[in-house]
Amino acid sequence: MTMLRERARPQPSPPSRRVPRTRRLFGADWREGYLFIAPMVILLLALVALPFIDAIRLSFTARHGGSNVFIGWNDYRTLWHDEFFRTALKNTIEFTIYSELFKITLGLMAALLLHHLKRWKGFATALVLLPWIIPTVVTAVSWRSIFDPLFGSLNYTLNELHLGPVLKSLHLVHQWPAAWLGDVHTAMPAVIVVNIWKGIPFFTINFLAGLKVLDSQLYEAAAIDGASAWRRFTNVTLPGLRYVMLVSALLSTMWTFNNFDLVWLMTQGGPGSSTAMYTLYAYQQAIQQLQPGLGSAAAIMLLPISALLIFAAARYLRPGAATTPGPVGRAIGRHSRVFWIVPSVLIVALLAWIDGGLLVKVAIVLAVLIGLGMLIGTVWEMLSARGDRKSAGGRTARIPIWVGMALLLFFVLAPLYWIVVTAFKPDLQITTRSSLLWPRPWTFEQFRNLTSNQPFGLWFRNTIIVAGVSTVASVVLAALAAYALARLRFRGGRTLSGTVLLTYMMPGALLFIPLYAILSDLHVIDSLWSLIITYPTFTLPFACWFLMGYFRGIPAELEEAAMTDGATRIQAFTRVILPLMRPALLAIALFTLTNAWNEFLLAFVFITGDGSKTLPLGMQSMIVGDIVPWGQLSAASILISVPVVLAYGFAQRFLVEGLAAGAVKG
Amino acid sequence: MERDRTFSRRKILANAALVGAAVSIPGLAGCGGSSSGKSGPQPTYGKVSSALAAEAKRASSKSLSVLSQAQYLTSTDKAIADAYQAFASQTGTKIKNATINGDAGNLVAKQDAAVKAHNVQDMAFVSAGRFVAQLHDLGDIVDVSDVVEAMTGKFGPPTGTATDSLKIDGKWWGIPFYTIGAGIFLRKDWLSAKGVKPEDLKTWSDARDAALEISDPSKNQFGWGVTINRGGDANGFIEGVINTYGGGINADDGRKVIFDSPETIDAVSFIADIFTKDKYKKMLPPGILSWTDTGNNEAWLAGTVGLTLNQASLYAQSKDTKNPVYPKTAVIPGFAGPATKTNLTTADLSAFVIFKNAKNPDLAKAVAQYMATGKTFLALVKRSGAGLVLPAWTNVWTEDPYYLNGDPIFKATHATVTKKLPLPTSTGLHFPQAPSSGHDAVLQAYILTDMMGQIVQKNESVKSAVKTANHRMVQTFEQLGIKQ
Repeated sequence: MTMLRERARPQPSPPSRRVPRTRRLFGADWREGYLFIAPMVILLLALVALPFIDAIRLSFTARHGGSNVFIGWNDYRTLWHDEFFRTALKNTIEFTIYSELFKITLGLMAALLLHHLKRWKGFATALVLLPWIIPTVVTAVSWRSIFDPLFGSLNYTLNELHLGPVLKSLHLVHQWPAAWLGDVHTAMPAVIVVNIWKGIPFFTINFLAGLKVLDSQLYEAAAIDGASAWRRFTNVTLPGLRYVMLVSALLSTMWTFNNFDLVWLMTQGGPGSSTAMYTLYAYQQAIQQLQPGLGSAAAIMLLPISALLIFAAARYLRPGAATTPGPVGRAIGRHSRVFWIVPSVLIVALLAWIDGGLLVKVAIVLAVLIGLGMLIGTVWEMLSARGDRKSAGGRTARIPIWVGMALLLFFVLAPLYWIVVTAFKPDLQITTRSSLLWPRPWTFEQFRNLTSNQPFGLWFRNTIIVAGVSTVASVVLAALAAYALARLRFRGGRTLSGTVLLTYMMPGALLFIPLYAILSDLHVIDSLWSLIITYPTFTLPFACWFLMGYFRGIPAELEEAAMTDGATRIQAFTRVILPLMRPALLAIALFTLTNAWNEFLLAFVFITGDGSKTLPLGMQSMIVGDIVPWGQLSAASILISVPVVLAYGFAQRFLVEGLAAGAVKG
Repeated sequence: MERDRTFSRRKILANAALVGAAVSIPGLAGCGGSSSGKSGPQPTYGKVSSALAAEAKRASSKSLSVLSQAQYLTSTDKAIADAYQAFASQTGTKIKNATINGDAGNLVAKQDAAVKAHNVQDMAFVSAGRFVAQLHDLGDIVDVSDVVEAMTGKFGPPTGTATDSLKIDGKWWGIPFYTIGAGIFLRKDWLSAKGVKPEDLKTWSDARDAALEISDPSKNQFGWGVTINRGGDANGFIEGVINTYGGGINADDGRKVIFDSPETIDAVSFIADIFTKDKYKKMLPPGILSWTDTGNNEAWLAGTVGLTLNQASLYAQSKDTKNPVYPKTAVIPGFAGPATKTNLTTADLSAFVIFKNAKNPDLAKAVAQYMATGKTFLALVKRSGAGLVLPAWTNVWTEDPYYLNGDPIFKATHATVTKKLPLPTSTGLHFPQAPSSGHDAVLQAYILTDMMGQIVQKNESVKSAVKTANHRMVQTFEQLGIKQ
């Protein structure tokens, strides 16, 4: 394996009398290498690097009337003294850290439960993936409706179960009935809950893949040594998942830190500015207040935080990071406690400074969740031991697993139930809020109105085209680039493989401002092309990194043998390697398809005409001013989700297999 | 066996996905665009006059690209789209129509970039009060004085705030299209049970006291239905109260911030009391502080609030969906305050603007004139929701009795748009004030609602919150190059 890695390392060949000068300069495989990476690099340079440079230029300007004037560092000075920018920064930190903490915990619990399921595992996994698949616009409007203090299903259910006053007596809510999104004390936790709900599947699927590749002999050895379930978890599972946990957490942290659409669609930053994130601040300044300079400066001010995350990601995501730690990794290994404890203490101190009360509540809820997980594990172990003694086949032992699954599925599916029943309610029942949890009578009225009042079919077709073409483009470009970076030797390859994720440093909120002007100049704005060419920019880096991991798992001898038999490099790639890559390609296609299917921000900014709207944008445009057609939105949510859910139901095992075989191993 | 079963289940799922996609997508792609509209025969659109037909003939190109502000009801969108096509079919032209959502907040930025890239639509109709001044400041729209002056000769002057919103530096930058009804909506049945007549409520304090009187939380009956959370309704409410108390965001010229004043502090204290004093707690529906613009609509349609402030969307929706609250609704124009003898309410209007670098401005002008008057406009009013589309020209109001008698909200809106403007306050301000990009930006930045949030939820003193808001306003104006 080490030999293979050395061989794969893309370094220029040593000078030799017979080696041509270009090969000496650029590496042995420079022609194929540059050819393969060129499409991805050009796309990222044009649509990420250029807008980024333009954003830096913009950050030194202000719009006065119809023109942009140079104002030096004034935008940065303004931000430094702007209390609302500071609030947005604090909010973003809280939102990101708490979301990630719970996503990791719950994602891991979900993966462990699913891993131990014997029957219906695929089906249950598909159900757990649902929140990830459902477009953000659906998530936001549905949860807004659920959180409605007077009419929402949450307060209604908590009231019926007499849990509301309990929450108040535990000081988990400020008042009862809780105002959720309307109360400055609960608005932030509420949007965090929704972000967690939507983000758990990403961790679950990665952890599930990680668990799949954990050596079962380690568990058996630990069990023979008498290790309890908890000891096996802390000594085998957690260390085994450390790499995938770190990678997933870093990627998810970057995405959460730069989140715009969920919060914007749920609260627009309110009440007051209690949920305003820095991306909302940037959007508000750049687009709503027509000050692109200040908006760009706001995003650039936070680049150091993104850069820190990216730096960590790049370290851990470089080839072989999981098995061959670098100097920093070795240092961390030697002083692992210090490296974990110091940042953790700093983060806790920061969170306590921002909002100590919320920190305490989060700690309580997290402790309860972990306690619940431990309880399920302990009972399962006890029942398993008893089952072994009685040779009863262990069916009873699975009860705790099913109880845990039921709790998890309740959290995942309850909001979806709300969407489904709303889709089948008549309009009058929805507006008068009668019989909240059951349609009376059941009706297809919403589906009929949706298809007759809105160009839903056109949105559907546009989404299929955009998602389909951008997915194919992403997969092809990523496969070519990843192959080159993992296998070919050419100058710059190694640097690129370590820095491809740097593109995530530029948040959408920063890029869309100059991107709009660039696409306008190219005359592709307000057309499907504007989305087709920009969507790959945010899926390509992840796809490329993911596929690099997979390529490294395929023995280089296979293609070398093909090339010895006379095949060209391209033939070896297309005929030998690609067929072996099918699960990984399918996995990455699903991932990019989901992203493109749900994308809202760029479509929202780039598309104006009805003819080019995609489903998330079309659905958002159904909300006009203060009128929200809840029923039609719910009906649309179901219709949007069905094809994707079916696709996942069919293909999710490839997603797990693809991840297990490639990326999660590092 | 297990393996076989799994395989077949997957196969079934895969086949179902394929069959589902194959069957549903083409079917879906064929649908849409055909609005439900309303049952029964639709009113017909007018014939294109020979003058407009001649203008269309003279136009350099036969095709036109238009952006239409999305309407609250899809039947209104459909009515407008059909009117364009009526013009196109009679003149042999082609009109490409797309709807835009003014509330998305990115309309001006997008259109500005499109104009600069020479890749812009020909014309749009947008809210005059919200967008025309900004588009003009950015140099994105062209002078349409010739059309407005010609139409004034035929239909009398434009009504309401048209002149204040559309006439800048002596030139017209938008062609008035329609007025949007708005006002205070009241539950007349609840008021009547307490012996209160809607027309007796003259001031904001009358409104607050009546709201308290009709409240009964045990029956899910809450008197007050106006939020102070981020949204257009809250902006309108907070600014409206401040103005009737004699304060304002800026001076009449639209350039000087004058927010921090004793009058503003009094007005903000009045609002803060409603949301902080125990006395008024029972009239506030739970969660009112989380409402965005949709909150009061939903509460109103659910029959749980007794008073709210809104554009006619809420009223039109209640009528359109046959909501039981519709016949129990009273509409009044607004409330006065200590500094005014009457309410300062004005109705917004939509206007056509023609973009700089438009390819076919002449055809655009002809289409605008066809849409805003005559039989076509009457058909639009009849096909739209109650109060969503009403005349914007003085003589059009009296062209047909339907304009005043079609629904109770028509007359109320007519009364609002025919008020003599500007409306003075005892502190020397006059409303509506001059169009101001600084003022628009302050509202877009939700400085007013954030200020209320600081007071109500973070216990900041009114004085200090007003001072902070004033500082942010000054900053916002200066960012736009308007020196303070």
